[in-house]
Amino acid sequence: MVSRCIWSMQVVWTVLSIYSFADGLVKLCGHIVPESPVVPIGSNFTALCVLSDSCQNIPGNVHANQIIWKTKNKVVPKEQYTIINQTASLVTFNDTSTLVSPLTCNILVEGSIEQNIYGIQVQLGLPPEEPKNLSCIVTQTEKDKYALPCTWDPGRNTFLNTKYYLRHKWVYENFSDCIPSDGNNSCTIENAMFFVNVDVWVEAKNDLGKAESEHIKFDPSTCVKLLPPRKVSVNVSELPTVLKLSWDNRFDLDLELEFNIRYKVIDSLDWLEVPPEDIATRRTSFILQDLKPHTKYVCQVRSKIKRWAEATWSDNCPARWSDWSKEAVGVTAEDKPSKGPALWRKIIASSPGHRTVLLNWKELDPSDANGIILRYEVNVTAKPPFSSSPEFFSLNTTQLILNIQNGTYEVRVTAYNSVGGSPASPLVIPATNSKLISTPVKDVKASPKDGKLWVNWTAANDYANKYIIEWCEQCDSSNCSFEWQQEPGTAQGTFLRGNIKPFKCYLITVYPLYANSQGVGKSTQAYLLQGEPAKGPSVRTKKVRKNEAILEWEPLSVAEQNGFIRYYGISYKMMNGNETVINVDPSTTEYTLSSLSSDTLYMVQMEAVTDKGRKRGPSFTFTTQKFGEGEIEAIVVPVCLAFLLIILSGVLFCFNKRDVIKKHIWPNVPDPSKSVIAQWSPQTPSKHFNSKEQIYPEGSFTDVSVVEIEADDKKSFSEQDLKPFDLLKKEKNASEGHSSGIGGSSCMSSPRQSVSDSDEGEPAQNTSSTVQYSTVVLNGYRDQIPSVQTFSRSESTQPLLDSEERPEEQQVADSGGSTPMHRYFKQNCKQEEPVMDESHLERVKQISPINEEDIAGLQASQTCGSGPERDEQEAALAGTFYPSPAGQTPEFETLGISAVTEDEMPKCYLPQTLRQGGYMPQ
Amino acid sequence: MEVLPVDLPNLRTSSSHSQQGIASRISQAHHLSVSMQRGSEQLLTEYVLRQGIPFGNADFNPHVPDFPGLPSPALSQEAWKDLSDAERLQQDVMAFSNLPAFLSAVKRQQEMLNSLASELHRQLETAGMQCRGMASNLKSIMTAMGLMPEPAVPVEPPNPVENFSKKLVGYYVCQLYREWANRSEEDLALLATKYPL
Repeated sequence: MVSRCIWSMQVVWTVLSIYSFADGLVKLCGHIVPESPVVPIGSNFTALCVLSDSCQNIPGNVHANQIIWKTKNKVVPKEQYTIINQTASLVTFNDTSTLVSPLTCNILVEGSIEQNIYGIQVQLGLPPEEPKNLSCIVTQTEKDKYALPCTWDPGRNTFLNTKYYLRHKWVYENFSDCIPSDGNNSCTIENAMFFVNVDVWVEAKNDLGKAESEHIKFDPSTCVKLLPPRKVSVNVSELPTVLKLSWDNRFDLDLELEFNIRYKVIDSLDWLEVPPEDIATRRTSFILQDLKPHTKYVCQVRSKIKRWAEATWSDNCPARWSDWSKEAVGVTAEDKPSKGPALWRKIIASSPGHRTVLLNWKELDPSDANGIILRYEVNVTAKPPFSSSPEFFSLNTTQLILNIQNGTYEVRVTAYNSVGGSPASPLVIPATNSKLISTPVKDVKASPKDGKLWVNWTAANDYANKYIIEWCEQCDSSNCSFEWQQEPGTAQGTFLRGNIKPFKCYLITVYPLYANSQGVGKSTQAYLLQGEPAKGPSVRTKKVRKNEAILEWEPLSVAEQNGFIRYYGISYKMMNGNETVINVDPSTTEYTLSSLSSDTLYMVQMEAVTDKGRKRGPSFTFTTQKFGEGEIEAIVVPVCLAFLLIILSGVLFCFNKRDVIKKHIWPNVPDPSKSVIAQWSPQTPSKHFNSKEQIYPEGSFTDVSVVEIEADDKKSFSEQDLKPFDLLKKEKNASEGHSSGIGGSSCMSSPRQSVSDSDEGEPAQNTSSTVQYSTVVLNGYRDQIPSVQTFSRSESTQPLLDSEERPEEQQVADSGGSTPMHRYFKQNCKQEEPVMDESHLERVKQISPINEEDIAGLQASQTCGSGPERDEQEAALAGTFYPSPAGQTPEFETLGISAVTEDEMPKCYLPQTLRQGGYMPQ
Repeated sequence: MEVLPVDLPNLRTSSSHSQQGIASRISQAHHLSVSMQRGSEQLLTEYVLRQGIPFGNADFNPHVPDFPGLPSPALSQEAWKDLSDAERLQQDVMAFSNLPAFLSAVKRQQEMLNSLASELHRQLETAGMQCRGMASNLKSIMTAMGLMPEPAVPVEPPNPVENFSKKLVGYYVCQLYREWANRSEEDLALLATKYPL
């Protein structure tokens, strides 16, 4: 409890002690020696803390061994302490890096309370180094005023406040110091005095010491940088190559000056200097010589005091040139043009015997024009054998169109300015196919270089006077606007001087020009800068087969190429397959893809490739064919041939076996004429028929009816046997059914019988197998009764009459009777034409089967037009034939009735099949 | 004035400086004397211009008196030729050592009388500096030649009360400065002939 009370009192005392120390109200307890030390970095440092008597008031016995040293808040190790006596403690720092301000001396009193006794600030730094590289210069600030600025290298950082003094003195006179106002490495001494050696040096000083630079001694007059000359002007001389340059110096002292003069053409970057030895004396003017006529020059001058003093004086302060004066500009006078204009021609049009030539020449370069060109004179002279008088032209343009003959001409162009004319520029225009067109240059090449197009070539010989380089933007020379330039005969290459654009193809041609001829142009193509093509080629198929496809495409135009097309890449693939790429030459326009799969969808695409890139065109799809060429034919043709062979084989087989077939299918029918049962009566001479033709004129028969009545041996004729025959008769009936149709309809008999009757080429067996009966009814037209008697005749080939069975009579009928009978039917048709149109005929054909069916009924009734069925059929036929006017129906009925019911028809033969013994006349 | 005979060949042998070094110093001093000739002319012109009548009158040509420590350099040609180089150099050293004090006094007076004549002030300042430089150069030459320049005698420039007197004293000082500039130029030119570069 007591100790705690003591501890509390000590704390209060310490606080009060510190408070008293701060206010200075209480005498200090001790102090540190040294008070404000400046310690060199890296050196040893020792401080002594001495306790004063006042510290005896501190409770307890205070001893120096209670002293604790601190650097800032860090306790210095005890090893660095040295107790001198009861009241003094020494601390030593061998390494100043641990010496951090403030350094404090403290006492550890009872209760482990530290009491600060004293503290000091320690400055760490370095002594100044010797300033180095002292350099001075005298600058002219006004006409009679000179300053002496000096610079030096102050050396390392001292970390202390270091002052620098620029000091100068004469041998027997000292001057005040120049103290830098800004920085520590320069100062300017005002009013430098000439012709007196001055000693200049720099002194650096801080708390750790001072250092002095090396002294430099010099006469300020030896290192003056003068103000540049002023009032610089250029005066034009009458001579075209001379300008006079004048100026004012701003230095009056009795010293020699030397000058530099430089000049250049105003647009040039390179200065030319007048040799220094020519202007090594004091002067205020100089004449510039060997200048170019009519050229604007820029001139400048600068000055310097010529070295006069002893070398040792001036070495420390070498002489310096003034700045360059302001630029003065002058233009030299004009002179005659130094060379003629570059000349070239272009053949605009050429016809046998005449040519139109565009002469073109370049404006002279200002360096050659030597003035303003006022006009050009052109002299055109024809070479032998053409001997026309020379022509002169004076003009102020740079081109001329000449119409000349197809000979060799020499053109000379001269440029004139105000002083005179240039040397003439000659150009020989050789005749077409002239021998004057000679050797071309070799190896013309063009390539980009330094952002321009460089053209080089190899001369064919040493005689070229000059070269013409001609170029145009598009490689297509047909619509190319040519530019050109001229190069000397010694040139082997040049840059194209013009607006050369990137990504454009240039056609460049080099023509050598000789004394009396010109060489053939040699061309090349070049790009200033290549890029990727503007687009890719559009590919399509020209022909697609089973395993190959022929592709075709339009080559890219020059404008689209943007560079040299190195190759075209064709990439193709199946829809889900790998892509195959084929490179083809850019000159090709089609390519055949082979080894393709049949009936497969392919996608193909083309790309154009230049040195700088590639561009793909649109894709194209196609499908290969399923079959190759000739495959279908190879299948179909053999099949057809085989089928044909089978048919032919069948036919041949049938032909060879016709007898067997006929025997089984179409057996022979016995000839009724040879039958003992058949009796033919009466005997009707066949001559009657012929006489009828003679008796009745054509057209007297208005109607013919043929009635076919089957023979008694009906069983021997099956329907199948009749069908082929019916078909054949139908075909016959299609051509000759007009008359028989009408006749058939009137007699209700099939018209085919009449056709089959007329078919006299039928085999005898055929005719003999069918018993045909015919009744020819002779009627007048529309109820008109002919004036002569008519005959009826059966057209059946059956031997109805004895006469007909006679061969000789048959011959007569064949040779003479058939043709009239045919004519007869024809005339009969003509009579019917006004009544029946084509539609009627068609209807007749249509209704003919009906008639055939009706045949059975007719045969059964054995009557011609009797019975109710007949009426109904006739009514039906009438309705079919004449469907429209009702009034005609009665007429037709009347006709039908008259054909059937007429009682006085002895001419009509009726079949007598019901009676044995043949026909009976009625 | 005490005349000190000098034996030049002995000086040359005894001198630690090379002949070339002496010649260069003589040349340098001669350039300064020429510059001071031009400057003294300009100063006198400027001074007369700034003082008003009668200083600018054509007939204004008062006799220039000697001042203590600044004698007139005027000598007859024969008397001047009889002087040795050392004598001439010493007379020049004394004159140019004392002139700055006179010129400085004139400047102070002119700063009061013609406070706006800054060019005059600058020229007086430059003249004083050139005199000090000339004195330094001459002493260096003498030292190089093995001569011991006499120490300068402190002088007290006149300080009249009257403004005209002040102007007149100033005029005298400017005149004396010009005469000593001319005299030194002649002395050094003669000496340069003996020490060619």
